[in-house]
Amino acid sequence: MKRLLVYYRELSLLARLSVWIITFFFLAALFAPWLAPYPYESQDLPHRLAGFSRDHWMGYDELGRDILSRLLYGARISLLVSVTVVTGSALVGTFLGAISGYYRGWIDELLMRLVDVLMSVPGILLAISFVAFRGPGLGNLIVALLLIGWVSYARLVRGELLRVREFDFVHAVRAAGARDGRVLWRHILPNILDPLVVQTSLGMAGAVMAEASLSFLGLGIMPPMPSWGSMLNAARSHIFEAPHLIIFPGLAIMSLVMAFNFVGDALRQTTTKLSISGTIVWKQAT
Amino acid sequence: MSLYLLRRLGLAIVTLWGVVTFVFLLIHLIPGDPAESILGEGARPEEIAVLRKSLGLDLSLAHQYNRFWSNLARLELGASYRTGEPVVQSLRQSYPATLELTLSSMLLGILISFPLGALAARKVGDATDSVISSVSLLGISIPHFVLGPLLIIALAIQLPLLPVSGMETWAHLVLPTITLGTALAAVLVRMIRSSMINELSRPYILVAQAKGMSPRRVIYLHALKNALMPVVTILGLQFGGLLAGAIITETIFSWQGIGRLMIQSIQSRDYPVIQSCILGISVTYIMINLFTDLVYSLLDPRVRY
Repeated sequence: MKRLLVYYRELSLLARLSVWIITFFFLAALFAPWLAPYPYESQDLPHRLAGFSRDHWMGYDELGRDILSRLLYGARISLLVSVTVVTGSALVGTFLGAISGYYRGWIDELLMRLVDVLMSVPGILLAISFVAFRGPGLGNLIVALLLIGWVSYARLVRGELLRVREFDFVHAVRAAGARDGRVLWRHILPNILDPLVVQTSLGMAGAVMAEASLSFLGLGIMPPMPSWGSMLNAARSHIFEAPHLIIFPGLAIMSLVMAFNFVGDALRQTTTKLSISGTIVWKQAT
Repeated sequence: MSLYLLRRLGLAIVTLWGVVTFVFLLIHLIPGDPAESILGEGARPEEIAVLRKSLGLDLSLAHQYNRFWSNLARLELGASYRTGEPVVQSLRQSYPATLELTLSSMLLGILISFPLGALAARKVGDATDSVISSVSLLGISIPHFVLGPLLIIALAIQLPLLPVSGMETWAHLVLPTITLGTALAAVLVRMIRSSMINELSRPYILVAQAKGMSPRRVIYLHALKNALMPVVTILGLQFGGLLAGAIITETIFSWQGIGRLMIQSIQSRDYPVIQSCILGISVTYIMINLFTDLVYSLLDPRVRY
């Protein structure tokens, strides 16, 4: 927690704004049932495709449902999927990457060839094919995104481990008799946390985008559950008479993805800066 | 050199094998019995039995796998369930359309990103640099399915300059190319920028400046040439992004390419066509990356695995 505060203080104005945008979306998702002025599935057919008014700030969609309410519930789906996918990918990827980089040998060889193969094919294509055969829906969507998500974490963590495992302090702890699990968890992991945090933020942007893409293609969240991607898909057939159906969900996706990208990008710069100044402080101390 | 070549070829072969195996196994990912799922509810048991036999589902998995490979080797990809047309035929029609779209997008992406990336690197830390970097981050964050419809609203409906969708004339290529190309440019600008910054900090740049060469010549003659080397590989990798983006972009603009074919086939559960589209897209990507890596290793003999 203290570490997060250190990160935040170092961020640029744009990145701080992004942190607040992300917070805003999380709150909107969390409190959607209380914030939404209407139930997301209730239809008012006579008003279908109507523009915004005082009671409906973003207007009605193609079935006469309140767009603002659907966006709020859509934020729920979007963040639920991305947080699950990113947490799962980070856990699995870090675990496999750590084993690979720490123990080396045949397991490293095997895992890294698997990573190479998976990175040689466009990830979203794999996710699409998985869902195409397995069927759409929340569960299959999450599995499909996990299937491709862990790879970048495994590669990142393995690379970091190859660097950190040869440091003196690691040799020292091992010589002192610490078990492998303890060395990895207590001593190595804290030292590779910075790039992991950066990757997680960028990964959230990717996951939000991937969920929306698959739902847009009709392969993700199924109606009547609202997803920003499927809202955009439905809006396509009404592009002539009702552009607001595209603009509002489009803005929601864009601002959330952009916020995660800005934070990730700023964190990358900050963490490299912090680690450089950290080295200087450390050198002066010795 | 030859060891590098062998390893790189080996990876390509293993990847191809992996993709083919994955595509083969997809049929078995269908929940329940594939034959029943294909025929839908209300199919008679005899029909299901016939289809099972023709799909080879009554054979052992190893046997099916063998059969899959031998069909593939003879380019017998089966026939579409929907139209009865041989899949090879549909692929032959849609593949060039996808290549046309992706190549024109790549061209646009390169034309936008190279000058901007070099400019940002030259003015690093400057207002110009932060504007270019922020705009490129914005470009990365706009999904194709948001940018595409927005472009349609702006340039085809509000200002009726360009056709909304379809692929009859050259004008139809413009909006999908902008959708895919600007997104690629956004990614490339950042990579060219960092590659250039890296290159500009090298001693030979100092030498060139010290001997009185003009900054313009230093940047465009020396630095850019070397900075472009890693970009070759990146271009190959980004082709995957283009192919994946084409799946969505083609759907938006009714561009009759392999991506749209794939999505239409998914909607009608036309499994042989889906499988062939996945194979087509992945094999293209693998081959392009193999090619760029080989070209790169020829251009820069320092490259080693």
